[in-house]
Amino acid sequence: MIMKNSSNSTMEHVFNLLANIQTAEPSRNLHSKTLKKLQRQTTIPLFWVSVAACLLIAFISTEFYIATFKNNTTKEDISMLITKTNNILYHE
Amino acid sequence: MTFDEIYTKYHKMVYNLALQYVQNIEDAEEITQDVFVKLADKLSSFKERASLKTWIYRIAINQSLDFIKARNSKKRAFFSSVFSLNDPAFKFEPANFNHPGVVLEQKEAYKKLFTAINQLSDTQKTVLILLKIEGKSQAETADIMGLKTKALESLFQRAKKNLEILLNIKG
Repeated sequence: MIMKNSSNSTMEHVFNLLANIQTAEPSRNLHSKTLKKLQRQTTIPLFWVSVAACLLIAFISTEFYIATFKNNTTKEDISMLITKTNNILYHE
Repeated sequence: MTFDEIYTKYHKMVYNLALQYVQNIEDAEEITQDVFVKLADKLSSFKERASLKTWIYRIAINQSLDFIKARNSKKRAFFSSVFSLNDPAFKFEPANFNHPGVVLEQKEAYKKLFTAINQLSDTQKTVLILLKIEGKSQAETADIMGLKTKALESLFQRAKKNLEILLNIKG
């Protein structure tokens, strides 16, 4: 019981120490630092902009290539379907 | 409320809360900056169901705990690479104890106390900080932590018991 009482009073002392911690003042330039960080976060880094641009160019090029390739094959397919006129006379 | 108004009203609160977690001016400032960057990002999604202050408290607590986790994992990676250690009980130790809120004459006592607090679990640490340092009521603390008052009471008792053990007070 005595031990418990002494442990309780020591914990009271510990909690008093915690309660006595003073409120601290942050540095004056914290606001400007925060705004700078905020600006850095909101502006997209140039690296990602260039990555996005490269991806877009690659996508458009692929689309263009596929479209051209498809057009060629269709032309070939159609030309294969059209019977070629034979100008040689059978009974000459 | 604009971002600047929120900053003016709450930056000291966020900074001091972060200080209780990291006990270091530079780290607390970094956490405060990150909290307000997050706040600016999430401000549009803030719903008036919770109070703004409670919401900021939650963001600040999470940011502080994330900061400690990130630092711990960096330290653990370094130690495990150098000494082949991977101790799961690796706990946060501030780079240098630099808490401007403590009296200089009692710096050593506070250092010892915070070393013990840093070894508690995240929730136990948070309950002690909010109740005993920030001086919040049980209802406020329960609201911030999203707990029922009874659960908060038992969490506090566990934190107190573990702190006693860590400080070698219990005989």
